[in-house]
Amino acid sequence: MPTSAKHKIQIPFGQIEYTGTFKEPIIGSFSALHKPIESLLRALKPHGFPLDGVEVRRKEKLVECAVELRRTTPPPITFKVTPARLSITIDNADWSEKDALLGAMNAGVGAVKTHEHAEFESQLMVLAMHVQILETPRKDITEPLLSDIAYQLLAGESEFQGVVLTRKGVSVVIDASNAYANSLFVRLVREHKADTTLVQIAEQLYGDEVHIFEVLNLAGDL
Amino acid sequence: MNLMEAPQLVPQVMPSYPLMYIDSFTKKQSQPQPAAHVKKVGVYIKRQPQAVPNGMADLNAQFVMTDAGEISKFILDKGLAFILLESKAHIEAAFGEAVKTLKVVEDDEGHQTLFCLMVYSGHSQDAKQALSTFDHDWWLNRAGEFSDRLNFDFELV
Repeated sequence: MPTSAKHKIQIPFGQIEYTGTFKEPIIGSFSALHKPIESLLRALKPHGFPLDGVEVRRKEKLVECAVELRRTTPPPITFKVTPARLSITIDNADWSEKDALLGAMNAGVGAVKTHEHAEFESQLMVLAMHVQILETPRKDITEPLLSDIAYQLLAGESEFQGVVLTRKGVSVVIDASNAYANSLFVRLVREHKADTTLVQIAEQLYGDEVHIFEVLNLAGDL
Repeated sequence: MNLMEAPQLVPQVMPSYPLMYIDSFTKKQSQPQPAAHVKKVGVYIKRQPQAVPNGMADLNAQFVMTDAGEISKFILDKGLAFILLESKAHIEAAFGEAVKTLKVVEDDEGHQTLFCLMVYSGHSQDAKQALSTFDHDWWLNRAGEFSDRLNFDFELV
């Protein structure tokens, strides 16, 4: 682990996206859309999801049909159900809000499982964030991640270098952000078993994020 | 599902050729969507110019802002977006690839100035020389129009 002074950072934008893929498509729910909308809205209303945040996408292809519920109060959350999967997207989530966010996620997932009789085949959690380095040039952060051989791939001075690392069931990409000055774009993708709870998934995500920050020697609010 | 495929995430870079799109580095990066509730709306988004006033997205990609909401408002209110974008090439000519940070500083009389600070890790004499070069080569010619609300300096780390 690095022992030198940590590099100060801020995260101007981060997004987590949870996806649960159904074992069997919930086709019945999409033949009478008022049912899933009603159960989801009832479950999510206490968590700030209003009626005017409900959108229904009707397509000719069944798999592209979707029900979306949006919460616009920070942090914004989008809860989307299609016949094949359920996804929850949260922008700029803060770990201090973990319990409240897990409450909303559990309420929505629980409603789909209970009322739509959905079973998960697999779960996936994605964290994507722009990590802005406040003082150190970003290329200095990733410079030690590559071997000398990697730098021989191209001649000339390196402007930036990133990495992709894939282990079984998990992957991380560290790239240069195009949206924010002196920022890294970090994307972490981890698969989870069908019976892993949302609390366990959140704990794993937090551990992964902390670990990545430690390895990169970054200090800031997660 | 392929682990590298993050669903619903907007591509950061539109590939020039289809084959450029297959590697991980040109795949999707998460971009925020415009939304009325987001306090910092307009400073996030690079690839949706219709949602970003007056080049703020380009500024966001060039300058570090520790309080993006306040700084963006100041830049827009004071009409500083264009001059800041213009400054980039001149800063880099003098300071190289230094991190450029924007801060709003208020003096004792309540007058606010936007400071663009070049974060410099070398010797102070070198930083002073770089600032002098920047001033003489460009800023002094433009300062008359903007110096009441914009200034450039360096910050040693």
